[in-house]
Amino acid sequence: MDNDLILSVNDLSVSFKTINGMVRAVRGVSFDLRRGETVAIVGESGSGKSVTIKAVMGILAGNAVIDGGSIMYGGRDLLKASEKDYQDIRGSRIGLIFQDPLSALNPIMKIGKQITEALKLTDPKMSKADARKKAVALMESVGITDADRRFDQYPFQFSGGMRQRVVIAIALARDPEILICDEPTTALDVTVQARILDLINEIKKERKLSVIFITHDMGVVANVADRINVMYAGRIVEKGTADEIFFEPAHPYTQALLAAMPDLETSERLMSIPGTPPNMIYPPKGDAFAERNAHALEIDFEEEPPYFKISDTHYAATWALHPKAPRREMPEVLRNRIARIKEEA
Amino acid sequence: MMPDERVPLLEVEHLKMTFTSGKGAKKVVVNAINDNSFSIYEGETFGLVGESGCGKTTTGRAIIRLYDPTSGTMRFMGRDISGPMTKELRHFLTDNIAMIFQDPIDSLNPRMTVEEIVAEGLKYHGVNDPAERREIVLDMLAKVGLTKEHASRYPHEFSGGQRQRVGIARALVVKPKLIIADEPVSALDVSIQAQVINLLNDLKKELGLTIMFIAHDLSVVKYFSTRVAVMYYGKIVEMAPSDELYRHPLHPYTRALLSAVPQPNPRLEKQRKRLTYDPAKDHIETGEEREMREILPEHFVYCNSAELEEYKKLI
Ligand SMILES: Nc1ncnc2c1ncn2[C@@H]1O[C@H](COP(=O)(O)OP(=O)(O)OP(=O)(O)O)[C@@H](O)[C@H]1O
Ligand SMILES: Nc1ncnc2c1ncn2[C@@H]1O[C@H](COP(=O)(O)OP(=O)(O)OP(=O)(O)O)[C@@H](O)[C@H]1O
Ligand code: SF4
Ligand SMILES: [Mg+2]
Ligand SMILES: [Mg+2]
Repeated sequence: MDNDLILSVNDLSVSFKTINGMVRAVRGVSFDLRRGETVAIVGESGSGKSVTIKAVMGILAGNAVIDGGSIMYGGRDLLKASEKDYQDIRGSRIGLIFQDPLSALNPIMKIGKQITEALKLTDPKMSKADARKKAVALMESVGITDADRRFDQYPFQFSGGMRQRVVIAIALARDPEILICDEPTTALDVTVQARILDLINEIKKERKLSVIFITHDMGVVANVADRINVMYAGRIVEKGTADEIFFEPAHPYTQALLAAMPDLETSERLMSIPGTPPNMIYPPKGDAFAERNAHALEIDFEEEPPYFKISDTHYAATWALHPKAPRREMPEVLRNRIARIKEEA
Repeated sequence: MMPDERVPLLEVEHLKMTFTSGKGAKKVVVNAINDNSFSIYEGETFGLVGESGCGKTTTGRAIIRLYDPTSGTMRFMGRDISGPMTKELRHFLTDNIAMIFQDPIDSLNPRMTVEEIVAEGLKYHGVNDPAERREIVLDMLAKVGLTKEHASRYPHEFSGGQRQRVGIARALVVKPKLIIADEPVSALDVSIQAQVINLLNDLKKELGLTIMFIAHDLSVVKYFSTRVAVMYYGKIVEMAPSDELYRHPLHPYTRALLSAVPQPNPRLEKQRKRLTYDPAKDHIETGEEREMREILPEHFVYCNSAELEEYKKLI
């Protein structure tokens, strides 16, 4: 039906065995990725963002247990793929960029060689001269100036932002179909971050890449995302297009996330979220956010809310959307902010 | 408050801090603070922003004399604090200036209970009666939203936001005149950041604190500060009242920095044009020395007179 659909995660659940018990890190996550679009996953530390994409890449830690679900890619379920198939997929079809560019680079191998090795992985017959030419072109395309000279330098001679560009160049050398970025700019300065985001957006357009972008910064999300999944305590609590999530947030956690940080125009008191996220060894029975939500209903502590449909693209798992639930307005701080940013745009 | 009615609490003049490492041909000299002057007035929040490595933390550390400044003078409550270190000067500084650190985990002793951590400063301040100390500590903990029950716990038994509250309680308990908050929320999750920012804001109003607020997040600095100084490679390049700085950013670095802050607005973000700063191209070289020049009341830019004329056209 949907020809552009290239990756589909369905009801994925992942736990970790620990001495204190099973950590229920991901609990029934589903999302789709289409050709040429960027899907963002946002949520606070420990909500299960990295575990979700590690499951897609087949690089979960040894103590992980897949409790269920499927990850459909190229007509097969990745959760059932052999390690050999996976190596193939990781090597060329799906590229990954981590938060810390240093850990992704070999400290004692010249930058250029790290890129040509990646190129040869996809085309083993490529000549040395050709590989060098291609690598330099790739370095230039990710904004590394003086690429011919820098080809022979080592990672320590590059700044943080430059290293992240190298990591992106290596990922692109394999000509992937999907690029997964796990907080690729969190460790960088804002001006460097801005350039990396522009770069990822450009490449995506040029190559019709599909991107999964993980972050906890709502400003970054606004910049990159076509669609957004908001995660809390191992579940996607709300999903929608960027406009839907920013202008019509329905889940109390999404609302809190948007109203918790000042933007350049904020002068009113921030909306703070009381308490802390739950311990995922004992996930709460009902809505995991209920204990931090001043307006939680009785049912929130009893039963996990299903997804309620708001539009064809917008869903939220909150009892507040139940037809019989008392109607509650969005917090005033947030209503004012949304009205203001709609005007700015 | 009118500018002339303000009482300067801290006056910094031509502060320089140079770090030297290596020897001979490998010698590296870093001008971490490169000739900066500024004042912090009683009751205000003075924001210091800039990117990683520009010298923000070094500035804070030089003020509390964790470093001996290479040159320049600093006066606090009218007294020179930049001279040779004596026991008496150290006391004067710890009595009056307290620092809140970026990472609440690293800055708290893991073997002390929260009560002991917060009480420690009081001992040095001559509160010798344990019962009295306990009362002051519990009172302070209550102010930052922690209970009696929390007092007997150890730092690792707290969440990041709670630990940062402990750090704030420890800094405030000795009733310092000036608080230097070095990235107090950067290490915290969004939902927790708001708790801590609101808390600092409440305490600021309730206790009439003077704060030097160091951060790289311009949205947070703007929200929090009365005046803001922007630092680039050791140099303060622009300084103005907070609203004014964001309304009229003039120095090309400030403009680039502001244009790079991602805003939580998808329609705006997707079409935003970003500015870049190139120190070699974005200046007019006339041979004249640059200095801090007041372009509007209270609004200073580091420039020469030719650039000043250019910046005036932007207002
Ligand atoms: N190998 C492991 N063993 C035990 N628990 C784990 C393991 N890996 C992850 N977890 C737990 O799984 C949960 C989800 O972790 P995950 O790394 O996905 O968080 P995240 O959303 O990416 O957070 P962050 O923003 O901090 O990167 C956390 O509670 C984490 O402690
Ligand atoms: N003790 C030291 N010895 C040598 N160099 C130092 C020392 N402390 C800081 N520096 C250098 O001085 C410069 C300013 O560092 P500082 O820590 O003040 O930056 P910052 O603005 O606080 O950055 P960040 O946002 O990363 O915390 C950097 O180049 C740093 O490497
Ligand atoms: S289901 Fe209830 S507690 Fe959960 S977010 Fe909705 S209203 Fe709040
Ligand atoms: Mg993660
Ligand atoms: Mg610092």
